[in-house]
Amino acid sequence: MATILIVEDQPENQSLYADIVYRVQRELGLTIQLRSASDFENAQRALERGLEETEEAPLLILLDMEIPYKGLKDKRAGYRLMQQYRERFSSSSWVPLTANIAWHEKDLFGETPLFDDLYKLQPFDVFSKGSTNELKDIVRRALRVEVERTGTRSQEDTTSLSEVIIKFGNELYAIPDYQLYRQIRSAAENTRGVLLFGEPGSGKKLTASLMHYYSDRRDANFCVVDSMIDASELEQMLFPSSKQADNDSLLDQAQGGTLYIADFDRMGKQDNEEIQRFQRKLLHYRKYRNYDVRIMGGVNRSRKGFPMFSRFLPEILDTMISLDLPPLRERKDDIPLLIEVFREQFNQQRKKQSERKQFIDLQQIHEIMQALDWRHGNIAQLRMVVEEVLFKAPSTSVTVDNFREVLEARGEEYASDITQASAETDEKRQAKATKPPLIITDEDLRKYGIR
Amino acid sequence: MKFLVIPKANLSTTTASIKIQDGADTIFHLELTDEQNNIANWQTLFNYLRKTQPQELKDLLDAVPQLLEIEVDEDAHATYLNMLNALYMWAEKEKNESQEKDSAENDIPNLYSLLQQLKHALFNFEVIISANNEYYEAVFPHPGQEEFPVYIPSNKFDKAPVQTSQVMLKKAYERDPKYIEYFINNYTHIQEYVMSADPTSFNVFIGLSKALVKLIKQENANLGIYVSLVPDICTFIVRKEPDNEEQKEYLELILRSFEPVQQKLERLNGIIADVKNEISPRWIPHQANIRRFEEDGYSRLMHLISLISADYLRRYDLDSSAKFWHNAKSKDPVLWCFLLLHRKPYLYLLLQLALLIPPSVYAFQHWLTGQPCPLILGSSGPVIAKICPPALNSPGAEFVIKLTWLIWYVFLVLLLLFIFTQIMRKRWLYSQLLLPRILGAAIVGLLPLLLNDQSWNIGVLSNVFNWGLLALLTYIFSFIYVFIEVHNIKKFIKGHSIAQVLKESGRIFLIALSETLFFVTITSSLIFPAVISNIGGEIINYKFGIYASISLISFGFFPSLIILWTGIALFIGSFVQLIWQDQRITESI
Repeated sequence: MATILIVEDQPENQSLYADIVYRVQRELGLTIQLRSASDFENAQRALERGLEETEEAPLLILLDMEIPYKGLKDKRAGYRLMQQYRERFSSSSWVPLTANIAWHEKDLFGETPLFDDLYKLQPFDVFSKGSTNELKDIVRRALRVEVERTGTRSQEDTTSLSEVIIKFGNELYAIPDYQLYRQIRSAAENTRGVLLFGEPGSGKKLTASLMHYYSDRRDANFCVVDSMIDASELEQMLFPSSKQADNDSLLDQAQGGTLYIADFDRMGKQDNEEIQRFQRKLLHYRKYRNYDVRIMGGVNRSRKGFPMFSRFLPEILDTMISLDLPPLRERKDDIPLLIEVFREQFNQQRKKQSERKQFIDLQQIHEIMQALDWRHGNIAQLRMVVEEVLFKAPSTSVTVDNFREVLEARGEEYASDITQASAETDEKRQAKATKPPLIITDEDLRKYGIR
Repeated sequence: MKFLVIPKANLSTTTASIKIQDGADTIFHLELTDEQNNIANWQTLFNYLRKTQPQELKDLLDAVPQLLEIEVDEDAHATYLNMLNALYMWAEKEKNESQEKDSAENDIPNLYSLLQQLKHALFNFEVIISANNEYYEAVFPHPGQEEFPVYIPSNKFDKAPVQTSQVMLKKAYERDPKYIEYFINNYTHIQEYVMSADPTSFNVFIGLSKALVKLIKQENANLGIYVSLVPDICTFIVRKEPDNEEQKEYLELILRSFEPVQQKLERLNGIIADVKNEISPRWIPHQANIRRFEEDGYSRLMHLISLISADYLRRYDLDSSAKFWHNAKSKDPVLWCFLLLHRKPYLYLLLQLALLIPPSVYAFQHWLTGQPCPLILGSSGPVIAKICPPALNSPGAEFVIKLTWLIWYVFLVLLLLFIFTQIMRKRWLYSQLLLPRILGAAIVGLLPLLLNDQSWNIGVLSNVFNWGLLALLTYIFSFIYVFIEVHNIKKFIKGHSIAQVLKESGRIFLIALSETLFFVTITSSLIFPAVISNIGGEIINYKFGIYASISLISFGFFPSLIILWTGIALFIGSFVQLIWQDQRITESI
């Protein structure tokens, strides 16, 4: 079993270092045995044992420079120990601990600065006694090396996504680990148009706006045609006629930018021929009238079994790539961040910024929300629920109970889901029992005159 | 795994049967009476098991990690906590012992890891920042029962940590007192373990500690019974608190606590040693900041010691107050001089007397000759030239007197210079060692003497008997005043004796005396040339003294005047003290 050796003569320091090592060890999920020694001879013995076959060399050696040698305090005993064993324990990470400035300056007898000597022994790092966080960092780094070596951690963690910026309205949100991020990003960087497939409410418009944001067209307009419009009106809005004033049509407005057309397969509920005429017209305008507009189309269903070629002209399919947006129930990991985004939006729309609503015990909220199916409207449905909860919650602190109330009030469509959810959460919680949390609210604090 | 306690009522005692079961297997079984069910007894039990039934102990220890995860019934919980606490203490002792011997002899493998696991389960106070950064979720340790998370709005906590923590403690205590009670009862262990925690947990813990002190002190929320814990909590806060004002608040609580004298002294010395250790020069990443770091640290230490030492001065415990300064082991020369004055004031008095003797000898010889007027050195001024004999032209005498006065002035200049630089470097905190209040009073006492012609005549022209009696009375009365003051305070301190009071008051008197003597000598000699015109013809009678007007300086030196004035200044000063009687004469200003 892997070991860590702590050589330190002061009991309180030794126990502090042991605590630090233990905390880091827990954090990284390692099981390492601790050993300690309080003087030169004991440390020597502990190291000698590491050389025997029965025991591994310590992973990490925290070594105080001033430890007793033959019963007397010796400022360089630790250094000598390191000199003696450094080569034999080349795989161990040595971390000398010093509290004395003499290591950094010439000492009274004008000998060579020991600090340089210390570095000649290639320590993993040197810790000047003081901030515990600094030592924690050193230990963490040293043990991470071990983690990487033994590969106890899965690859996913190391390749986890960096922070993603998502734009909603005029606001940008930093969101880590959004599942669709990679696809959105690479589609955005492509210059072609995009066909987005997904159930109603799965976030097609949002994705389109994100792709616009990530593309090099970011500075130009992002225009949207929604699905409510009828055919003739759509034609008028879309295609600029010579009679119209310049900036009146959508193609004009979206010049250099992106145009998102919802219900792209049905444009104003027309029949197939009409749609293809529209598509032809779009291609024509782009090709011969020099409209530089990136077209994104939304299709309100999944791609599976969709009669692609009978609905779209092959020419238009040439200019577009397809992207599937899975329904929310298939990517429940995104729920927490969406909840957070909706809360943020809700707060920004409130007049009183001081009364920002906050979620308490997010873990439970996430659990209950993730257990639901979201079959009836995906992200839009989630948004409605979150907003209703935020709207109805009496205080600025929103708890899981507020969520339960709203979900119950919404009736049957959720009923089966809730029971399922609570059963699941209960099961999860059994391992780590928690009392209902005590929440100190702003009102409590106000009573005591804290504003 | 289950931890069960089944009570069995016998005739006289109640016995509990304690079982640890894993499924159908019984890992550990023991019967204890109610009196035996305490931490100390459990510890003995582990020692006993270790020696006689190592296998049983091993089974138990192997079960500990699982045991820490389970939930225990309400009736069994107290026993469960007793066992775990005892196990923790036992393991710590074993670990220390095995370290002293050779650790290879340790027959319990993983003892250290076990100890850490126990420590974590028993004493881990943790604060989690909520995902949206708006709440701190504080989890109080309480093994064997469900966790109790308390949410506090982070922005409110950051703004007013102590008040917010008070609300938090109060509400948590109302909701379920046992969590807070466990927290308070194990405060010292939790505090030790929180040192290695993340900064947020640490900060919230400090906030909680401060709030706890406030609540205990206000006897709020039934927490008054924990008053004996206040010094421990305050010690932790004082050690970690960088803000001087806050530090002062909690230090005063330690000083005012009803701890045994020796224990309190140890605690205070521990705090000083700790702060000193923390500010000791060490390598820090930004070399340029080293100086600043050192200055800040040093002034923090000085501030701390001045607060502690002032408290001991207030109780007229001059030895202890000096010892605290001594413990700082500062290389500051002014502090060193002040400390010497504080501990051995007679040395200063002797030095001053030694400086005064050579000119006094000259003055005495002149007096023996019976000539009128003081001994005149250098050129005599127009007023004196008319009535007095011509100046003495003696290079030897001139040199000795010049040298003496030069030394006085050098002392004065050095003192001012040092005081000025120390004030500039914000280190002027040990002024209390000078007993500034009594010094100020003596200077107030000196002022009427300087401004009144009559006092010159009283000082110089009185006959020996009157002068001697007057001087003696002033000294005796001043001393009596100091004695009464000191006795008034000391009589309330356990184990005091008159000898001790005499010693302390004698020392205070000597400090005051040597300071007053210094000021009287310098001011009286400097002012004399200015008052000559007023004294006029009477200068003929000023036989026992020296009037010198040698290159650059002119002054008058009259030993009898200096001795009498010192006494009177002290005497008036003591009575000026009566006006400030609510404050001690040793108090700093």
